Amino acid sequence: MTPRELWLRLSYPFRRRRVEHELRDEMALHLELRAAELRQRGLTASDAATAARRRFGNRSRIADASRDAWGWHWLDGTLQDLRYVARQLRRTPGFALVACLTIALGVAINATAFIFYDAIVLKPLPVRDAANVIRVTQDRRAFAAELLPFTAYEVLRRDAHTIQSVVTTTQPQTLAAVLPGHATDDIRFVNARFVSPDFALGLGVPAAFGRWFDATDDGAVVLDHGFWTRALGADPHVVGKRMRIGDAELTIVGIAPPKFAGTGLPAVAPDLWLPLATLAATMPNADWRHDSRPHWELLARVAPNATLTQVGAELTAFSRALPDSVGKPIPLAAKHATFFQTDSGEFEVLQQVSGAFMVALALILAIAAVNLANLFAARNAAREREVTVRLALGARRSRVARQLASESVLLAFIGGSLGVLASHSIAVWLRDWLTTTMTSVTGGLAGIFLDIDVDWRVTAYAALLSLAIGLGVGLWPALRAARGDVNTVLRQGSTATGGAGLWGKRNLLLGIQVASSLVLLTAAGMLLGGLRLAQEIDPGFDADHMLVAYVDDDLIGAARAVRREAIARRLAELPEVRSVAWSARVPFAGTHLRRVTTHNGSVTISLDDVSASYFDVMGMAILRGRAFTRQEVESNAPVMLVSESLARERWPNGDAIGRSLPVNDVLTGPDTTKSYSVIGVVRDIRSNFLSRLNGASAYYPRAFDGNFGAFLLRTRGTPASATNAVRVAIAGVSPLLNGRTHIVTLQAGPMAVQRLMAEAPAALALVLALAGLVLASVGVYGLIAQIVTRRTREIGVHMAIGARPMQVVALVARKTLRPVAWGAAAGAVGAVALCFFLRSLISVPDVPDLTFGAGAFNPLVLGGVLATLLIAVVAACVIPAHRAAHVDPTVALRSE
Amino acid sequence: MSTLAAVEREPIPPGTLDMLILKTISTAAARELHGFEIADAIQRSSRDVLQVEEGSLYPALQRMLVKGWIAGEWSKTPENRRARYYRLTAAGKRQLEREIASYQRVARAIAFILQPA
Repeated sequence: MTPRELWLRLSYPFRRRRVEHELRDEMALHLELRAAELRQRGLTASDAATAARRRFGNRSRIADASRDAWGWHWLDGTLQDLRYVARQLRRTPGFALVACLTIALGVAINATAFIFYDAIVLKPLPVRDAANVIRVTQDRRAFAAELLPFTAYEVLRRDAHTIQSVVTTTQPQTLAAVLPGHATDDIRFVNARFVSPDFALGLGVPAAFGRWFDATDDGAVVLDHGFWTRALGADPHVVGKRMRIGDAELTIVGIAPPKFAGTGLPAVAPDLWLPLATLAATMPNADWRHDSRPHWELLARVAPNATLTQVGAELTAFSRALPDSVGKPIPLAAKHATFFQTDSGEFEVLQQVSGAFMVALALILAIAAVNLANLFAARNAAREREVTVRLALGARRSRVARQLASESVLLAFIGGSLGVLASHSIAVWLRDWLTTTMTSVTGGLAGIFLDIDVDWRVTAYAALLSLAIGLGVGLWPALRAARGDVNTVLRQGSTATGGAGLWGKRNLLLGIQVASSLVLLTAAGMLLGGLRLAQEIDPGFDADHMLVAYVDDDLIGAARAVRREAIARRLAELPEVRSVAWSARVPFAGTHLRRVTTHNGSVTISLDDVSASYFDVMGMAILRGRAFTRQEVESNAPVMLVSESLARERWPNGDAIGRSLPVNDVLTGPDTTKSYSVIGVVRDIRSNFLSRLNGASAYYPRAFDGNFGAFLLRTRGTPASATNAVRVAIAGVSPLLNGRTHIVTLQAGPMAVQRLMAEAPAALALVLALAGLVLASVGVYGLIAQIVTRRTREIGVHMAIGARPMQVVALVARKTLRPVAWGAAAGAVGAVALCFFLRSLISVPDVPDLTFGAGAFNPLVLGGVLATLLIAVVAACVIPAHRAAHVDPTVALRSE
Repeated sequence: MSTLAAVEREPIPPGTLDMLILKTISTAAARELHGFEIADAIQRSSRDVLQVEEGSLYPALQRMLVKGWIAGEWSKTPENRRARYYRLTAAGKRQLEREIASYQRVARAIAFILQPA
């Protein structure tokens, strides 16, 4: 196409009037000249004009063909189609609404999932030219592979040729800070990353306000945008102010951009960015720049003309130059850096799992589309005659098919737009819920930064889905209609019915939908019952006043035990704290179960290693006997406390107190070569799963040693209000513990996770069940509507010979309700099977009871579910059945 | 009507209409032609064998206008009627040469088949 031609074509819409006017003039002249010629040959004036016109042919058709030359005819057609479709839809607003909402529902579910897929799996680093950024890691390491010693940074920065802009950062460190304008004792704990001075420059990150620090800054700090907004009310005047971090006074020089959450691993935004130079002043004990321990993440850009393979080769060559703390060379590797990334392959698993999940959701959409196709088929059946007439009058088949498809495309477009809008709100709500939950459950240890945004990828995905639905749903019946043989349809009228095979498939699909929504509804009903119970459950101990303090110690052995004891003493002195214990296992955070075979069969015993004050901290009633003494704990005495249920199980007759367990008995504690004797019996509690009692349990004395465990504190007031005092007290024992202490209340942390175990499946089941119910209803509606339109004539005959409206409704409903009935039957069987499956879980001790003791088979739930289904089906039947009952026999018969 | 039916007429062979129109316009180089004259000229030059259908003439003219092979200009006929007169552009001349060359190749090939050596 020459530029001139392109210009002519593009400018056509603006010159169209003139072009058509000229063409009309030209053709008129042609006709006149032809007529004149014919008159010369002796024809009369009127004969000549007629003959000329006859020879010339259909003028508007020629004008159409001439217009085609400009390549704009599709637009005319489309506008025409849209006008036509809008007219059609105004006539049947109910249909339009149902179709739109069905599409909106399907698209909203899919687009929401895609927003998260986009924000997690597809999220690049929030830096300039992110595709070019790599992360240097330790090769072949399963754990903390992303952390390297500082020398790696220095060596690569100095000597590597295939990479440039090498930058480094620590993981977020918790530091005590005093914000500008706050009293000096108003300490709050913040998360900070220490980064190399050229971090922002190398990654191409600007500052929202002020500037980033450079190599000369040794007392500067840059605030995260989110932290600045949350903690300082987004006050731009804080730039230039000073704040205390640890023992150092630093100057705020800038604010990071809103969407810059850092470089991932972990995928959270720190509160502050600090230059390396401030490390010594703010964390005096951390000599990370000179010791050889791995504390540093390394990122770099691939040099121009270099490839990732070349980078890998060069890094391998550097390995020898980089000995680790025990002198072994560190093998290095490079991979593309993304925001959500892990060092041991979980991210790759997530990618695959979420990909599969997206496909599953697309299947839901496909079901929605099939139901819609039924609806459209029902309408198009009614218009089959109209279509046929238009075909007979010479309309092009492609044109008719396009017109029919444009209706569904328009609806899909509207529905898809609604879906995208809804998905954004849903995604924001979910993100807020997710981040709040994660932060509160882990006591601020783990958060997640989710950049929820309806960007072009989400929009394109939703548009593609909508278009696919629109075309698929519209074209299938449209093609069928357009393929119709003109003569057959005209002769037969609209009594023609679809092939039996097609009906069979549709019925099968409908039955499956009814069955699956029934199963989902049952699951949702049972889980919701459990949810109700989960809110008011009593774990059997004083969970409302418990604080958990995890201290990730860098010491080992006896020194660690001494320090833990010091911490426990210090904590016990706090006015907010009533008592302090140490336990190898935090209630509701994991289990320690031992499955053993006894003479009574197989039992599972829950084991706990605890310090002396454990029972006091937990507020657990000691029914008989006593708790451990301090001496017993320190000397690892061979004594134990058992739960009521264990006492009953092992010593059914008589008191358990004073009984001893032989050496190597299944119940024997940590040291199986010793004989343990029972000194007390405690109540059965829930501390493995909130949803069920622990059952047989044994408690053994444990001093402040061991690799696992946490401080459990019983507070006087609300546990959350003691958090800061506890943190300050622990930091008082050793400042380095600041960044290694993680405090959470039992309710907000582990117990909230337990409740989530009830809430999340219940919510998911409910959403899916409701979506399934809506889709099944649309399916029923579409099928009945289709029958009614296709059999209008038959219904008319029935009415004419005296059938009552109810009989007509029964006639129509009978056919449709058959798949509904067997679907419901199959669904009920599935629901009962689900109940039995859930019941079978209760007999497995190491999984939670998702129904929270609501029991497996609940006839009330099943009855309610069936009633819901019935209501939905009846509601779906009402409109088309009403239409059937009001078929006017005379009209129905005459219309044929 | 009898005079019109005197000779046996043939439709224009598919694919040759553009060439015939371009050739007709170029032959009448001294004088530009309007639509009716083009149709007439083709019929006359072909000794009344080929008859151009108006149904394809005007779309073809539009197409060639868009392609830039011909240019149209409005002026008066001898009878003082407004008409669009067409002339060949440089691109049109090249196109005509191409089409004639291609047509002759095809015609020779067909001749080979019909009269084997």
